[in-house]
Amino acid sequence: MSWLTQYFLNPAFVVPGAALVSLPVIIHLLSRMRYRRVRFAAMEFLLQSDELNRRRLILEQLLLLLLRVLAVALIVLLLARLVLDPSGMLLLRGATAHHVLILDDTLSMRDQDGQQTVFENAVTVLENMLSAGSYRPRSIRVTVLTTTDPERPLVTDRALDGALVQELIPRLRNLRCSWRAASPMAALRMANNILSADGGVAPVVHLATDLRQSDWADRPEIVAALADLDTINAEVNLIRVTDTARDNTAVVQLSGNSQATSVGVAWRLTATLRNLSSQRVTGTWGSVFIDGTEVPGRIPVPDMEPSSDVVVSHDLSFETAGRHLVELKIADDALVDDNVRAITVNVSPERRVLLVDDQGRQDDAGYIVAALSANPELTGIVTDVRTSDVLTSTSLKQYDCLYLLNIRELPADAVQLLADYVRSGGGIVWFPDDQANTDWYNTTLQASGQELFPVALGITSEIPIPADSTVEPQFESPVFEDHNVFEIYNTPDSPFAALTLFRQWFQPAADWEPRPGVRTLARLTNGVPIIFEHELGAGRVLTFLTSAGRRWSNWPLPPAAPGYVVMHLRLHQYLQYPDHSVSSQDVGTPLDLEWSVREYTEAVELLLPRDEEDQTEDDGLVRLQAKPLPAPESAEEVVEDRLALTITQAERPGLFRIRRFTQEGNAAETWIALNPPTSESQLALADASQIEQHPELEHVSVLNSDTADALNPADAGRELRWVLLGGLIVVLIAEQLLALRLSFHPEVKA
Amino acid sequence: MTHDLERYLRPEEIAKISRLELRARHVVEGFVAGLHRSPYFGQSTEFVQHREYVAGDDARRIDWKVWSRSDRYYIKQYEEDTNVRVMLLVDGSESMDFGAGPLTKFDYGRTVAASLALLALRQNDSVGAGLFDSEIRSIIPGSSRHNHLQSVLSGLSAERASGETDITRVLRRAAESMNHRSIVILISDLLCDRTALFKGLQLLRQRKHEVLIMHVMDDQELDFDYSGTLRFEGLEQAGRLTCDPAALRAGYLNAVERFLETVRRRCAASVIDYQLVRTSDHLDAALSQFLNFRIGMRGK
Repeated sequence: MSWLTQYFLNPAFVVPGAALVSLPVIIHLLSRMRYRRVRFAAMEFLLQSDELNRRRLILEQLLLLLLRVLAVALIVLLLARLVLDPSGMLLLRGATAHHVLILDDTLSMRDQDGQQTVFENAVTVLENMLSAGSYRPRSIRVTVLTTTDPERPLVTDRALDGALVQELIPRLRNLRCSWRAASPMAALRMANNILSADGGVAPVVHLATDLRQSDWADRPEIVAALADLDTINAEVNLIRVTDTARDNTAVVQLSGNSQATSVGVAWRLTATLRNLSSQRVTGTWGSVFIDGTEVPGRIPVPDMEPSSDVVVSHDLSFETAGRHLVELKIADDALVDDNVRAITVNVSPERRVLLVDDQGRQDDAGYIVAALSANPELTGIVTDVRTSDVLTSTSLKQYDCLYLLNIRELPADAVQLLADYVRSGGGIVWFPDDQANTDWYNTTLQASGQELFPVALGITSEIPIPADSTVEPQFESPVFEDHNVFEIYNTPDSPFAALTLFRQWFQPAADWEPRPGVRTLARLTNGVPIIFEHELGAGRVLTFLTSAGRRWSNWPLPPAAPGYVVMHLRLHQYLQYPDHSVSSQDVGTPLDLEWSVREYTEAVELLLPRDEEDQTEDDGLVRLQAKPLPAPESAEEVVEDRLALTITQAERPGLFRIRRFTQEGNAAETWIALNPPTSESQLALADASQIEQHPELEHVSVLNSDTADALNPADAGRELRWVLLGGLIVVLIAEQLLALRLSFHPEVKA
Repeated sequence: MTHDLERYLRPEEIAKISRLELRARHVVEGFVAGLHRSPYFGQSTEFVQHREYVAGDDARRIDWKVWSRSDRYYIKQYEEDTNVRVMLLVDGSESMDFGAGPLTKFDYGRTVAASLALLALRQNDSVGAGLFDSEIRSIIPGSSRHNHLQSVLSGLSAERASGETDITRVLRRAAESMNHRSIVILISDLLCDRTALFKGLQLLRQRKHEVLIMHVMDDQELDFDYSGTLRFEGLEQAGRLTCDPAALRAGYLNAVERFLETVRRRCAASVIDYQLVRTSDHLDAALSQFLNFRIGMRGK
């Protein structure tokens, strides 16, 4: 009788129960044999009634007998606790439990909990649950998802048995925790979709997670996703795989003062560090690495109060030209991955600036040359001073930025090239003087629609020099808005604004109204706006309504000159043409590249960062193929063919080197530094009681990892018990109704 | 009728009296004592009142003395005397030997017959009686003598009902034995061949006899209020059936209702007075029915 144990949890009830099933038949037969005799006169009517009702009575009595047998059988099955494999029984599909197991693999799960990470704890929990569930083959179906990639489940709707466990456990153990941030909402929605499409099962969702505050506290979208699971009667178990919020500090931001610099020139690295623990952090140091080599001299980090940021800066210089990876590391803590952050920088032998000066002697350009490159070894900037003819004869993209000095007017093709340069990210600076053709500025240039010049020029204003040399003329000084370029003028006790004196300037036209996007950066003390900034495409335009030299002001001359020099150096940094060959971004942001077929071919080589966790990986070189972009349907003009590539391998921090090739076969590299998302650095835990006590989340339970063994056949068995119990109730009600109809219950007489 | 007098008419009280004569006297005394006065009028020597003559009245009854004084036609009314012949036919077949209450249908029917005989004799009616099953077991010719009651009662005496009913033959013989126009009162459960029954009744009607049927049925035959598993064994060899009676009750009652409706309809068609009496009914119901019938007879 051991085979009974396959189907019954209490097999001892089965044999006696089977004997009991015959009880209603025996009682029925006995009752037919025990009768009372009645001598009756009106037999003809009784026989008529019997003849009319005999068939119905026999059927009803058989049905009643069957219901009674069935009721006894159901009671026996309930007591014996029947467990069936419902996969083969369509009517009992409700007894199948479909468990969706969601594994939180976001970066915060890399938190080190003793010898294991929290992620490894979660994997162990899921392994145990799957092993326990495989005890009853095919009574449970499982789907396994991850929170960072719910669209690609490890397994989808598979019957849980020993074979699946053998298949799944190695895959789970080989699964690596991602470096990405992801809300659990997407995985919960996916679980909902999967379970909704699978009607007639007992749906259960298990989410093994670290239950971080940042993901779970005060997140109405998560509550909504959990509440939606209640609409399909799904149970939700949030399995908390860690119960400790460990201290953590992170590098949350890293930047240089420019994306590109020159060899030997000082380059300032600025980092923001965040203390995410509940205690003050003292005595921490940061280390800078260039291309993996530590730079001598560690950076002292000020004491960090709990939940506060500190900013540290460090000046570097690069000895060689080319792209470099710059990393800042702080001491290891619970989450080591956010203790380092990296950026890339393109170091060239020199940075080039074009100064276009149409004034005959080009004196004004000379002052700017002196400011930017008096000592090229110090600033790393080389200046080209040319007339406006150069705008149509050379590639403007080789210059970090353009100065347009004393321009009378420009030909239309030069205007177009300037506009293209700015729209692609370049920066230009206008310094018109009195030889400017205001009609061209106000009419032709405006009519071109390129929006290169932000203001309508009016008359020039000039402060007269008194005839009496003993009387001081009342020149105007500038008043600057807060701006990175003019920071030297707004630092406390800075004398340079007051020392800068304007004798002449352009008034904006009387009827000029600033258009949207044009920002006034400085006014004279008399209120006349004199410096403007606006953006055009990806680039910036700064417009000064005065000359750059000494004819209209003392700006390049002592004592105002220091401010002048610093302003132009900042201006160069501010307007620097973007270097697309270096960039940095967070892990999880799609790494999409797009280029013209004229620039590069479709062949791409990707050099992955060295993976310290995976020793089997070879040189990390992956060859990829870009795909042509479809031409936009609405394009009226003929557009060039373009190629696009999405790098799906960019799922971990580090340097990704992308090598593309020109038609001539020359390689061009793009360096992209990927950093861990800062949102995952917050390790504080959510309050489980707030989740459990939420009025919309009565179906949600928060379990600890040691109690989360809920994936077992009891879920399916419990459902079968309810089926049996429901069936018993229905059968008993039907039996009573039928017995009443057959009048086996005597009427209660009033 | 007072409550004490009503007690005389209860079947359970009647059942306590074994002798049929005593039963009959018991019933009739109780019945008559409940009446304030005789409501029956006829040609008798005892004058009651005058009534204005209406068309159809017998001209012989006009009181000419009143006419001579008032110039109006009045007729005299007297206590009725009898010239009615009553023949009581009591079913003594085996089916009448059924009764779930204190009296079987046979006992009830005999008591009713005896009571009617006594009542009729007290009104100077001529009374005869017959007891039958497949044939007439005994028949007592009609007589209005006061000591005739004993003869009638002896004709109705039998230990118990037995045998099958052959109603046609019985009614034919009864018809042949009656030379004068009579009231034939048939006391039976009518559980016999209905065609033969009405054939016999038609025969009586053709011979100008007035027929009153007192259809005696037991409560259980009309209500069929049985429960539990029962084996029904038919009287007069009507078969047997083991069943749950509650399951068949609705069908049974339908069949009984159809039977009663058929009998009522055919009695009405044959101008036969019909009265269904339950063995649980007070016996005055049967006597009242008889007296009502007599009133009807007087108007004809």
